[in-house]
Order: sequence, then structure tokens, then C-alpha cells
Amino acid sequence: MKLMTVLRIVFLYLLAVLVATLLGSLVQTQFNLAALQAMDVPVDLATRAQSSLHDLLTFTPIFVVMVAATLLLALPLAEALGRIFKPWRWLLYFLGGFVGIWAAFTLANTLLPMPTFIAATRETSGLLSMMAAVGLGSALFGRLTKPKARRGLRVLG
Amino acid sequence: MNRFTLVGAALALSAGPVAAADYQIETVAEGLSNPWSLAFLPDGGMLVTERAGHLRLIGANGTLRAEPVAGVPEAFVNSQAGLMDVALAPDFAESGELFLSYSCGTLEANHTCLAAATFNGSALENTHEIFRVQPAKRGSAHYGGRIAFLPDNTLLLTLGDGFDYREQAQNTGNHLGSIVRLNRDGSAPADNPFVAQQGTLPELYSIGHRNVQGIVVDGEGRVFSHEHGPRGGDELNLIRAGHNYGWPKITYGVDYNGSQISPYTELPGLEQPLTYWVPSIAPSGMALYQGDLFPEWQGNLLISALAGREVRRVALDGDTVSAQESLFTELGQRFRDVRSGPDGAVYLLTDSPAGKVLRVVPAN
Repeated sequence: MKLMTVLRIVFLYLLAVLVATLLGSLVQTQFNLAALQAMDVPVDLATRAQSSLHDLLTFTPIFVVMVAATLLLALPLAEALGRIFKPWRWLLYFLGGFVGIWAAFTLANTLLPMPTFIAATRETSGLLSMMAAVGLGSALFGRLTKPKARRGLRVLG
Repeated sequence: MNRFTLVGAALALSAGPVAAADYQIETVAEGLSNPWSLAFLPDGGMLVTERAGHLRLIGANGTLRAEPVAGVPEAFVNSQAGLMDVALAPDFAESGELFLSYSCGTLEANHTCLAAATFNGSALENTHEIFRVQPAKRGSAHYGGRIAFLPDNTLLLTLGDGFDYREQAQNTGNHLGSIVRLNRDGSAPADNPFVAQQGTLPELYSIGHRNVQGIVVDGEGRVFSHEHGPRGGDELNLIRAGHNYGWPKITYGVDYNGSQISPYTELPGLEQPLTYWVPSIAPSGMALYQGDLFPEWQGNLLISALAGREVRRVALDGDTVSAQESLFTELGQRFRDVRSGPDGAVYLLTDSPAGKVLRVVPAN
């Protein structure tokens, strides 16, 4: 594999991690604010922006590690399966991040003293949204690394 | 009494008129499994709870009895869950009645529970549950569990929010994240502050708490409590009946993962703490020092701390914190509880699978 190819893959991996992390951070902030609003705490647009920015600075340093580790394992697996099930490549990449970060959440909740490490994942809607955020980052990597179409053996498609 | 002696001099932490004291520390008992609370018996002995579910007796001669006290209610033991506080009734000398707080149930559905029993000098009799937090919660975190008596002979039981249920601390339809006031039979006093409100639980005394593990009532009837914040934001509060202490609508801490729990540190209608700690010291127990051995500590709050590995001495000027001092940091121990003994000494419980009861007396 050429050096430029490797560097491109590394760059796209970092891009996917960045996108998934930023999306995930923004998602969890909105769920936390929604929980406050449900208790009649006022949250105007400026407060929402301030809280989102706060978490982008303070939540992402930990979350980026979870996402990076997840995608490091999930992306090669999605690529391998995508070569077999070619029409489902985007879905497999999405599911790689989606299911991978669920495994990371579960591992964190098992190993750490607190029952739930990320409060937004306490409810199913928050958990699925966080998983989707990482799934989108993973799918972005799959989209940007998709090989050009060429003739050849295709299995299941 | 198995003794070792460590002589230390307390160091002032913050500005203010604090007086350092020379002291020495003796070991009263050791080999206790995560000791959680201590009660002084009229005969000079002590009862010590172990989180693993045992109540231990230290005789008046300072000897730890090998066998746990029989008759203790079965506790759900896991992580923070287990046997917690032991508190003697104000008329214990006549009635022999005591109270135990503990977690009960299973990992999937558990509660903070309170039992009453009669201590006959060697075992508990007539042990029976008198109160159970509603509803059941999942997980083994944030039970509160401290007990204090008010001058009118009712008792306060501190509770936690169950960690994953933090918003329920604002819900007066359950007990999570509150302090409850009970009669000695576990019923709700008719003059409790929320009794008249439709849809609220009658036992509630104050709400908006995260995990309250220290409470004392002073000679004027003022109730002080402290609670664990998340990452930062531990609080010392002056508790007033019917008031809301804000969690999680307002907090000076952030979540353990760094995210914001609330953008607000104050909002109308929510009480401010007397003081708060960032970073957290993890306050775990509290005593009002009323002994004669350390006159410079008279009337101060002593707050044991887990993460802080210290006992924080807090001096008050009225309802204002006037000075603070870190004590016993040289031991490097996580402290689970601190008590002001009838002999004027300060008693400490270290949080460890091989925990100790320590006694602090003046160096000379």
C-alpha cells in the first residue's frame, strides 16, 4: 500500500472520529438540557449554545477516546464485511460505529464505579441518538473510502 | 486497646482565625470491613457498622468482640450498598432502642431502608423495618443513609438520588434525593412540611439533594447536612423544612465525564449551600464537636472526607462559614465517619476492607 494511501486512510479515520465525537457531544448536551427543561428550568438559545460549547470543550476529551477506540476496531470489520456484502457497505459502516459505541458504553458502565457514565444514555432515546452520532461518523468513513466501481466477483449482490 | 501513636499538628487551609491543635492518634480497633458508622453506648462501649452487613461491638474495655452482633437486618451488599448508619434513640439508656439504615432488595430493585431494634447488650431483638424509600431503583449507588434526631424526638434520614435518577430529586412524589422526617415508628409526623400538598409523599422534609451522607442537629435545633456533588460541587447546607436544595437544577459541579449537568449555579426558589467544594472532597460523615479536649474546636463541624483523605474542620459564625482547616491528612486515609466522643476525643473510621476506629486526643 502506498504511503499516500495510508496517510489518506489515517486522515479519514481522524475525520470520522472528529465528526462522531462532535455530533455525540452535541447530542448528549441536548438530552441533558431537555431533562432540565422537563423540570421547568429555563433554557434559552444563548444558554443552549453556551452549554453545547462547554461540553465540546470538556466532554470531548474523554468521549474522543471512546470513539477513537471504537472506530479503530469497527472500521476494519465493516470494511471486511463490506467487501463481501457490497450493496450494504454504507449500512455495515453505520452499524459498525452504532453497535461499537454501544459496546464501549456498556464496557464503561461495567468497569467504572458509576452506573451510567454518560447521563444522556440512561434513556433509550438518548442512547440510540448517541449511537447514531457515532454511526454517522463511521458511515462517513465508509463513504469516503468507497472504492471506485469495477467489474468483478460479487457475492450477494 | 491496641495503640499506636501519631503526633501531628493541624495545618490551616484557608484564611480566617483557625487555631492549630496538637494531637495524637490511637488505634481503638482494626480489621473492620469498611466501617461506616459508630455509636457510643452508655457503658463506654461502641457499636460499629460494617458495610458488608455486620454490626460489631467494642466493649467498654476497648476490645472488639470477635462475633458480629446478632439480629441485624439482611442488607443488600454491593458497591456503595450495605449496612450504613447506626443511631441510638435519645432515650436509649432506658429503652435500648436503636436504628439502622441499610440498602435492601436486589441489584435490579433496591431501596434505602430503616430498621428499629432493641439492643440487649449483646444482640438485637425485635428488629423490624420501619421505613423503605419508594420507589425501588436499579444499581447500587447513592443511598444517603445518615440518621439524626431532632429535639422533638422525630428522626431525620438522609437519602440519595440513586445516581441514574437525579431528576427525581425534584419530584415530591417519591423519596429519592431527599431528607425525610419520621416518627420513631416510621410514620410521617403530621406537621411535616409537604403533608398538605397534593401528590407529595408525607415523609419529605427537604428535597433537591444528590447524596447526603452527613447530618447533625446542633443545640439550637439547626440542621446541617452535607452532600456529595458530582465532579466538584460537594455542599454544606443548612437544612430548613420544606426547602429545595436545587440538585440537579443547580450545581457547582460537572458530570464525571466532563459534561455540564446544569448551566446554573443558582435559580430562584432554590437554596444556596453555606459552602461548597471544588474539587470534591467527597464528604462522608459529620460531627458537631462538643468535647472538652480540644477547646479550640468547640462548636465546629468536623466533616470526614473520602477523596480528600482528611477531616475538614468548619468553623461557623452564625450561619456563615468563617474558616476551614484540613485535619489528619498525614494519615493518607479515606475517612468514612467522624464522631465527637463522650470523652471529648474525636473518633474516626477509615474506609478500607481493613478499616480502623481511631481516637484522637491532645498530644499532651
